[in-house]
Amino acid sequence: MPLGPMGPQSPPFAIATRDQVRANGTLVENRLTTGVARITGHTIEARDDHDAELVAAADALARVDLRGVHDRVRIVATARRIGDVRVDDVTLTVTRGARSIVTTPEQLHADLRHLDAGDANAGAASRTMPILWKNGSAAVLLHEAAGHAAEHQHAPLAWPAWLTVHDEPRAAVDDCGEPTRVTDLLREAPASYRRESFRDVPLRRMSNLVARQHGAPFELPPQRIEIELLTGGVYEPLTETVSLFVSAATLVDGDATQPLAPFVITETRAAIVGALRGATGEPLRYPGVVCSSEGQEVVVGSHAPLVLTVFA
Amino acid sequence: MKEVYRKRGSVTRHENGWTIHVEESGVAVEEGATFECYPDTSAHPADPIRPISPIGPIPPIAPLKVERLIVTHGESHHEFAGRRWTDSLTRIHLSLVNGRQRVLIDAADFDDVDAIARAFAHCGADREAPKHLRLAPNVAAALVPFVEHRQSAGGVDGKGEPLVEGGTGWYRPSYRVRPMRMPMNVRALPKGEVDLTLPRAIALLAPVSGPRLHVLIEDGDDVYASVVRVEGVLAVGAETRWYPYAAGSFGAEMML
Repeated sequence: MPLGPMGPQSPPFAIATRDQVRANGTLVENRLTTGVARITGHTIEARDDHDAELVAAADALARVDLRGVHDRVRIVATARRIGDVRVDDVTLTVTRGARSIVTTPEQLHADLRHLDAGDANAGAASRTMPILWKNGSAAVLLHEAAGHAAEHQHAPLAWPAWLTVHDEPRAAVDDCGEPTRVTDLLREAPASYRRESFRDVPLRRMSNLVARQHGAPFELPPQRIEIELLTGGVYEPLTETVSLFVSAATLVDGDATQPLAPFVITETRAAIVGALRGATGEPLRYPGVVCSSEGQEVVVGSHAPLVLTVFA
Repeated sequence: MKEVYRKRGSVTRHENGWTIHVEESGVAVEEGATFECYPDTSAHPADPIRPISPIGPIPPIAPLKVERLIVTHGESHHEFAGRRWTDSLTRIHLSLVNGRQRVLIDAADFDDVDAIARAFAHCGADREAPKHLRLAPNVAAALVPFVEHRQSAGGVDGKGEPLVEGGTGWYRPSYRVRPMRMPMNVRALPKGEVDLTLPRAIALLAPVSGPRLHVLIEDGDDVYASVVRVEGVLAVGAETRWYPYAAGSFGAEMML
């Protein structure tokens, strides 16, 4: 990872995080983290100083209405202050058996339907069958194949002209107090620095991936796999290989459908570029991705249209 | 029953060109099925503490690329159920890259690095694993949790209780982590005689998550990568070194 540009001018970074786990509505884990980091050159002084305003804000964010939710829910509510700018964020991870979704309090009840999809014990996938990436799930594919490759500053590939993949941060400033900007992940690294906590080194990371199509119609193959939900993905920078862990998918054959058992897609990013056949519609919001890199977990917004891939 | 644990600590971490000084004090409370933790800044000393690592700078490892280098040294004060104790810990995590291969080194010092780097720089094509081979202590230590092992006596666990031979302890790597009961500072018991003429796995090329090792093997002047399926441990040497895998692991020369 390249070093950041931070110098003596970087404003202090203060954060409070309320991290709770609730099982069937009962609080089983309750963690408060709060602290301040000050950067001078490439030295970070980090201490768990209490900031009452940020703690109160994180606690307020963590008060999420979970009535009717019987799954295991992790709530991570964060209030941070970079210089004079406040940035608040709350993320829910809902786990049911082997499946989980990352979502927001506003989208929680709508997103729970993703956990109902499919049957984990049925069917097996074929590698070369066309794949329809539904519900914005192509954002996970592109997060790994385009976003992480960009973070590692790997050489751009010949992506289809109809596809754009941008990082579009929602916050006005990044975790180092610099104004955020939209970046083209097919050609450049994300511009924004992010850090999980006051103990961590700021790194250039994605914040909010938005993939769009610009005139890429396709004919829907009668036999196909339809992906609904992924447990996660991995990008191996040495081999430029992507692994995707599909947790809910359906095998479609004409009018017949059959749920598929979880499976893994492992392809080079060059093969992924070659597999993109088309896309349709506006970007759909995928429930979200908790992205782990250099030991730091950050949430990345994820949006993509309906995408068709066919691997050779 | 309500259990309260307090920890105050300072860590200096060198991470990929950055130096990070962290000071934290916190409380963890367990009551029934509920775990809670929060900072307690009243426990901070008046002047910041800057732990100084007892290990020296990284030795030169050209022409390999350093993908990741994290050196951590911390000192901590603990309190639980009227017991008070202190400890310090030094760890390095180093990943070196040669082409499409990555060597992972987790240790308490840089002692293994030079020999591994020299060999890795001359790594040839992948080969089938030999039927029998030796594991260097740093490789064996990562495997120990997945073969027959036992806790080693010495030190205390995360509740301040002495670690006893063959028992289990409360593993608590941070006050923010709910303690887990498990064997700590594990080792494989010495047995048999290690054949020192066998090819030797000297480093890990991937993390170990079961009885399957992706390793760098040195056989005379030949160095190659191989995947080893562990079907049985034939011999274990008596001399051990500690490595920072999970709740601590002692590695010894091992023969498969």
